[in-house]
Amino acid sequence: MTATDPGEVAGRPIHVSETLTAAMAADRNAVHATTALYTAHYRSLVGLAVLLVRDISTAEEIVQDSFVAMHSNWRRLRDSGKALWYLRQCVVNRSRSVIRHRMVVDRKVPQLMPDMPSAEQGAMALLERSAVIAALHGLPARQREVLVLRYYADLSEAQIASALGISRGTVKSHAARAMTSLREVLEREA
Amino acid sequence: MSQHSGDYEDFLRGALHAAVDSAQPAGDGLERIRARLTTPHPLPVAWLMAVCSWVARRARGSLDSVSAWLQTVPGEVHRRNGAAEGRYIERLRLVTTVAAVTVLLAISVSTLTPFGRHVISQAGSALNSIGGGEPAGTGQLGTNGHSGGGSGVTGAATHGGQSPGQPAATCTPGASALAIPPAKTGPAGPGPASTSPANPSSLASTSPASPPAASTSPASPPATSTGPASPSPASPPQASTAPAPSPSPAGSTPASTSSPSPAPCTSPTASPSPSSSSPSPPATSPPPASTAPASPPPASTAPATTAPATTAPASPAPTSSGSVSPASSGPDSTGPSSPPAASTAPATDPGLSTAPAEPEDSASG
Repeated sequence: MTATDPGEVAGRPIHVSETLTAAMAADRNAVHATTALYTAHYRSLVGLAVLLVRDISTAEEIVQDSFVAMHSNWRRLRDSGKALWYLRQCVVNRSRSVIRHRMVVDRKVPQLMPDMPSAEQGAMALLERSAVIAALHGLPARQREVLVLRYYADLSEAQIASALGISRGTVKSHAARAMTSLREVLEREA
Repeated sequence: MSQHSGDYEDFLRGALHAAVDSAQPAGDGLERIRARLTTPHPLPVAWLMAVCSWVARRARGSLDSVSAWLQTVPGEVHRRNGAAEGRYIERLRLVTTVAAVTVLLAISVSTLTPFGRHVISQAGSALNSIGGGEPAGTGQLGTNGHSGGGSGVTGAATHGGQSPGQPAATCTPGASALAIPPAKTGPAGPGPASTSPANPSSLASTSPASPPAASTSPASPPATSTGPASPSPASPPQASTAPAPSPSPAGSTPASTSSPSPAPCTSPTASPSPSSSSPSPPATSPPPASTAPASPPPASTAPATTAPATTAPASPAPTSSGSVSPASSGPDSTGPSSPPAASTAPATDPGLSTAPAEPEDSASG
């Protein structure tokens, strides 16, 4: 399937398979990168999502969705070194969306019977044992995200600002308010 | 005060890590990701796009030559028969150009419609069958991976969900060949020692010549959400048009296989990776050599330390300065923002678009 017409593209034969070859190469790179990133960072990303959405299964779903998205958009990702960055942002955004959706659902779905704990509640029970985690989930979403990214993912303020799409000053203020609120709650409980 | 604050920060850090340590993710995460990635789109669509681009180039060349010829004709005709026929020829040239553009446009649009997808998938099946491969799976196009937050919301219901009735998925060279890490799938999180990018066993399954494995595609929210009228769940033609002479046991029952673990691609050169869940023979079915001239070499010959991203080719996205682009513009409002150096994508990719505004801001307190 080679076009040898001289008037086409600079006299160069056109192969149909060129595009396919490039796509395959990109796919292979994406596969390798996805596997490597999974091996290295899957658990930490799940932990990040767990702290945000409080549900392990949902957190895993979020992280897997993020990996799929990263793989699908690999060709558009110029710098592969930023793939982890992409994943982290993806996890944060999707976790936020899950929380938002959960709030809407909680408004409309009738509450379960008190003697019928759901599976989600069972999964969350372990997390809720920690007073710190409970207090963390009492914070506003943005403050919670800042704290989790700061003290669990160990990101700098600039990195948090980039990941959340806010300014550094906003990150600082969110972190300060969150720490104040958290301290008040914990001291009150103590 | 700062000492107290530092202690408090350490306390918070320890509490967060302790809470996360108690939550152990399941070990089959990579298999699930791989199952989602094996939703069949790449091979037929890649073939179609390659053919379309080739046809477009040829058509452009032909149109150029025809246009040049038509430009020469009116002069002669004008000399002979006057201006009337010259106008007629000009009109004819215009109509010809418009017709050609219309045909190309129709072909392009047909690829976006469900019927077009169906046709594409069947064409892919035909190509595969000609090349000795297995039939293409569903006619689902373009799983861009953006499932939105809703998928996560329904994660409890669909978690781990590999519906057994799902059709067979084509095991495409890249997307389907995610290899499972050999030792453990969920190592300690940010630990650097656990990083094992692309060991040979994992690379082995990325061979492009691998036949499509009959892996069950799980309940994939991204694909189903992005393709509303996709004929993927009920596309028996792909499975029924399986003339694949593949001796692979997975390939013999492409559509009826409902194994919860998607069979990975088996490369002709694949080493017996421990992650391979299907004991396929090494050389299952020959690659469609006659129909796949661009079949890259087997992945096992690729170096294990291949830089993954430096060879990202032919990005259709308009390149601009690589800036951080928090993503929220587009159909997937939960699309991630791109990393700072990620290329800015067109509006079709919310995950990498450059729109920094995030609608999720409303969720914040």
